[in-house]
Amino acid sequence: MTNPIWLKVTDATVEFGRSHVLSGVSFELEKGEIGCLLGSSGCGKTTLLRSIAGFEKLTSGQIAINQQVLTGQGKYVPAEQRNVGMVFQDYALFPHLSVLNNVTFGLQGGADSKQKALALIARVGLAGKEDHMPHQLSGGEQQRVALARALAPEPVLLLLDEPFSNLDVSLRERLGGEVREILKETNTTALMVTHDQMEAFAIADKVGVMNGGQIEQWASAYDIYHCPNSLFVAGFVGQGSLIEGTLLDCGTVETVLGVFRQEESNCCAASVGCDVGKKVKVLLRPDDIIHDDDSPLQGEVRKKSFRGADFMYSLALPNGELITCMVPSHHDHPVGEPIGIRMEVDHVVVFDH
Amino acid sequence: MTISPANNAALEGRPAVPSGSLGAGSGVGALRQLFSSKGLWPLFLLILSLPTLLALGSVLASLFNLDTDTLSHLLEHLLPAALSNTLLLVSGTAICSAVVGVALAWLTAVCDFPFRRFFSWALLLPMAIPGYVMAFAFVGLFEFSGPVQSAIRHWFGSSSWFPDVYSFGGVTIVMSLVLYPYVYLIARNAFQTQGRRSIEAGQSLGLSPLRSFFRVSLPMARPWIVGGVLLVVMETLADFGTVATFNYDTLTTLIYKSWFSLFSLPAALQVASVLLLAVIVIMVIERRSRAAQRYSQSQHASLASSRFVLSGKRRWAAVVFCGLVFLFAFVMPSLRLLSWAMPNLASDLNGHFLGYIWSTLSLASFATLLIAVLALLLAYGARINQSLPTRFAVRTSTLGYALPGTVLAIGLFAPISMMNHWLQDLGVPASWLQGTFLIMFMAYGVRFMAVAYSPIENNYLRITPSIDDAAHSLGLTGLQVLRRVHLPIVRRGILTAMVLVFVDVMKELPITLMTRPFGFNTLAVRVFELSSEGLWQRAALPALAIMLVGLIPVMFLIRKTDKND
Repeated sequence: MTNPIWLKVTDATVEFGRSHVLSGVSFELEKGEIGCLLGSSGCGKTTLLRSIAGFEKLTSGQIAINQQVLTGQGKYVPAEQRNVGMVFQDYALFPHLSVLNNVTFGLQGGADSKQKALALIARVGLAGKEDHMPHQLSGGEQQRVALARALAPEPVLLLLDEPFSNLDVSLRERLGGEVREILKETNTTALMVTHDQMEAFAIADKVGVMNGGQIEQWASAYDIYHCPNSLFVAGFVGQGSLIEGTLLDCGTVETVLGVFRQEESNCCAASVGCDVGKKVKVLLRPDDIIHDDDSPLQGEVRKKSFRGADFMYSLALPNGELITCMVPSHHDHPVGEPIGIRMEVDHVVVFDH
Repeated sequence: MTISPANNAALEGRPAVPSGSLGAGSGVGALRQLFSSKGLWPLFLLILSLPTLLALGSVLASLFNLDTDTLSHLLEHLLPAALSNTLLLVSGTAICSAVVGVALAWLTAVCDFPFRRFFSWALLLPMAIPGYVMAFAFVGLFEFSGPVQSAIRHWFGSSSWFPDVYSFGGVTIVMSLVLYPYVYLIARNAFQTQGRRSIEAGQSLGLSPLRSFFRVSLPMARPWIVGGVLLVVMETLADFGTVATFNYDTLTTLIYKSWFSLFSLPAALQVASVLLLAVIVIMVIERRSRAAQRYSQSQHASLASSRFVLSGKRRWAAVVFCGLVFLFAFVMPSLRLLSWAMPNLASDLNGHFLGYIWSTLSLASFATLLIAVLALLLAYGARINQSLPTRFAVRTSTLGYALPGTVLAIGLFAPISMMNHWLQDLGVPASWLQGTFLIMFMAYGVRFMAVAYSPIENNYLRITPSIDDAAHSLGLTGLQVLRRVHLPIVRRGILTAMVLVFVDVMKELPITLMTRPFGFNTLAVRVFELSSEGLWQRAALPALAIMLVGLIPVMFLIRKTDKND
């Protein structure tokens, strides 16, 4: 059984003057799902988030939560009546209020709300700091308060705007995991915006890669990585290289590294197509290429970078094409040496020229 | 699928779209509408800026509306003299306060000598003394029958020469003693924030303290010094009380004379328009000079370890210089006032005096409240609606600080009295327009809006836009955001604004003098009336009262500057 559709965005378009900030964005989130909009700055992801929150109006299109239209059809429910929570990039804590008063801010008052706030503060790991003022807290702690404050009124949807961008990397990872846990525990439907793909992958059930005011692909993190539907998504998410290939028949493509066949059951089965003889580009992720000293197939090391657990080698194929390959760190080969490789391509992804 | 009970209940109990609360428009509705609908703000703010536009418009319009026949004779002799007097005074005061202010600032910010810390704050104290108080204290000290000349005659014989106090020199000295703190304050801040690196760089390249001053500190601080001097110029242009006490005719006193001695509103408007043109020129220069105040300001590195320790004669020269300025600008006038007030204290502290205190306090309190509320609305409106009309309204409403009180008074009085006549001709009762506090409060509002607006706006800058969004996303509407989020955060700014406006209104002379309802007296007006009749002993007590209240904001300022020391 799938959960009911909770957030439904249809053809959302925002124009400022002549420029389209959003052009026809549509996607859906199920109840309890965590979605993430991934993209570089200026791709429209923040505008989309703010439109859902009710801070911006759409030029056209529709936003509905639980089948109630919030924006669109001539309606516009102001932000304060949406009960949509938001966690801001700069936390936006009220500087004049203590942690506790920040968290109870959106509640109706009374003993209940205090109990509830205290429980939430404890849940985000800040028990004992209820009376601290925001400026006495570290960045990570402020972010936790912001999360507790947004969750306190039990919002129908929680929006997170680059919530971890001001934190250092190790804290970012830890907090990301915790946030996902809390959201799942409370069965909160959430939508996050970020430019950091690791963050998106760590937290989200569904990821939307945005580019130029449109969602290029809306899918699970796994599918976004392994079956990107466009060159942009393939380049934006993860590493990889493109080599020339020719279609042999349905689902089969021939390259200088051999013939790859797409399994029928695979998520991107449809992408290869049946145009026999057609020239295509084939996407190879670093993890598709296994280093094997005994393999007859060889590439010459052009560049290498040591990354601790592994080396990232850039290899030149006989025809001059470059591929990247991840190799366990004991295999230290000098630049210029040919090394053996073996192909293990589970997902064959091809793009038109 | 699992929905936690709590979450589920929340969903049912509080749907995303509460019905019926969208089109509320009754009762408090109108006000609420204003606060929640951003569209009405520009209109409201434009109405706030109307008095400024009215004053500017009516004064400038008189430029194109010359009634040469009646005015030419009147202005043929008086205007050129007043104009040249004004220009002389402005240049003299600008030069004197620049030299004194910059020298004091550099000494106390960059050098080290005995009593430096004391002087660094004590030299700000003269800011508490209004020009018209300093003027009569000074005149009382140095005029022919005053204690100084009497003593000189006593020691050196009755024929010994002493310069005339009622002169360009006298008024320039007094004006500079009152106004140098502006330059001192701003220049000192500039020297302090230059940080020690630039001074150390100068020292490492072999510059002596004096050469380092002329080649490093001074050029770096120039934009700020220019800013301070321009402030002095504007204050000098606007001054009425000081020059009136010295019987030194400038444009402001000519406005007053045309109005209250010659009973010619058109003539007064005409003179005001000349003054306004001068002010506009200075304002344009000031705006331009502000653009230059962007040299890299280093972090607040303390200068303590790299001060130039003055030695030998120099160190005592510095002490004497600072001491003399402090003596003339603060100690002597204060003592003079005290020595006048003391003997008559018992008889002067009577019901009349308390009556002046009461009327002054109630006037200042009411004006303060009014202006603080309007300034808050202005800042709030500018925040939630950043359209062109809003920005225009804010710009206009905060323009008035630069307009001399005399210009404002005539600029508002003339059109409103005209309106009064029209309405009366039409048979509409309009007595509330004139002879009431209306014009006075309008003029105060125009003049002091910027004073109240800037500390509030400064605090507002600390509230990031996302804080408003956060409040909205937690269910607050516009008015609630103002009450629960903005007000607590900008509270200090509002308080500062109120203190500043209160003191300014209390000290204000020309607006109060020219627009007050018949028979209404404030301490400032009383001081002016008594001192212009030469009744200095009796003017001393109200003057001291004004000074005492004036010390409050100076104390704030001192505490603030002391932190950077």
